[in-house]
Amino acid sequence: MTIDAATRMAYVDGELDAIARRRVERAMADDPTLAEAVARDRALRQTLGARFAPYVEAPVPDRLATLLDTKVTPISAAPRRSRFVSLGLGRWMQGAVIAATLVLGIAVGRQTAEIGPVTTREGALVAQGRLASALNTQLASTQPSDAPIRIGLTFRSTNGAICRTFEEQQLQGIACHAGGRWGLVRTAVEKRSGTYRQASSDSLASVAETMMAGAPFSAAAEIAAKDKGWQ
Amino acid sequence: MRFEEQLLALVPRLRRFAMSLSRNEADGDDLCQMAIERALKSRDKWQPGTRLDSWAMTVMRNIWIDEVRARKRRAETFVAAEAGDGIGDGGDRRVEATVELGQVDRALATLPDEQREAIALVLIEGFAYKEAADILGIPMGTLSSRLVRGREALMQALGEAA
Repeated sequence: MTIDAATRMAYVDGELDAIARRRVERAMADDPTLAEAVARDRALRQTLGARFAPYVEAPVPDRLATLLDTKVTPISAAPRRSRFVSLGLGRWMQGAVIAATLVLGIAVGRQTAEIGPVTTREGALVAQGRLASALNTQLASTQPSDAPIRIGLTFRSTNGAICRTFEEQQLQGIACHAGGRWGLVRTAVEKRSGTYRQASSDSLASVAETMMAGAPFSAAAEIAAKDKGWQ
Repeated sequence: MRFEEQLLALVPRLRRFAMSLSRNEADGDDLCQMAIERALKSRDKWQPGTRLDSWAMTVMRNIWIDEVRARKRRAETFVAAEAGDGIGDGGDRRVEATVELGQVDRALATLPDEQREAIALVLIEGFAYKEAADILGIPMGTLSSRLVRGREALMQALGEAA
């Protein structure tokens, strides 16, 4: 009897029941061409398996592992080829903070008469001065259109903290509230040049989206969160 | 086990599936990252007690489909621009890039996407036909015929290269 290609391949893929398997095996015994075809099908499975096996055996790259690392606080979604500097704490705390401080050099160092928007506490970058004040008190629904620091989205992150996106003249990012402070989880130095700014804000929103548990806060939820001290 | 931990255990397999879909490490890891992010965001849609691996691969495959469509749109734009210029060196560069790929990768690259994803799920990921058909949202018969055509094309491509 003839075994069609679909049945022969289903046999190789382990999809046939015992009766159908025996039928194929009997046909193979009678027909060397069929037996050879089965051997080729098996060899193809092995070839493909061997080609992609290294990805299963390799250690998971850090950029993927950090997405699922529940021990990293507050949050460290890895950057997707974006301009955002990941300030994930945890294992790369030192390096990340040093790198971020370099990136933030402009923001931290400018206007010596005035306190900068960012400082470090226990190895983490936190908001201070005007930025901390805006994050604590400013509501997206009522802020003036020319506010020096603009608050974008407020949301609860998947790890439970309330986070807010912000934008000011030279710095933008996402800050999450923890231990009475606003820790910066993402920042980007603003570059003012036409379309770049829009693209950059879009990326910030998309990063925020990956961090969110549920939808961004409504105006009412934002007020309620402020009244409860962003807990 | 927490959702994140279960998903983390699946990452090596998700990477492998991402690589077989995208056939490019950088794209594969980007795809993997997007799939993990979307899986975390829509974790409520996964029903505990059902297979997380099938669900996560479905999430990844849907992202990939969107990406392929977007690329096709971009490619059409580029082709139109090149035709206008009368300059075709973009094509030469693509050929060079293909030559550096391994024999198996070249063979896989000849397959239509619908055959490649069927091959990846069954022959590389080891899913049963039923599970693979569910992930792809197609009937079993359609899956089976894609596997037959895909395998025959692969054999031919590998045979010619040998």
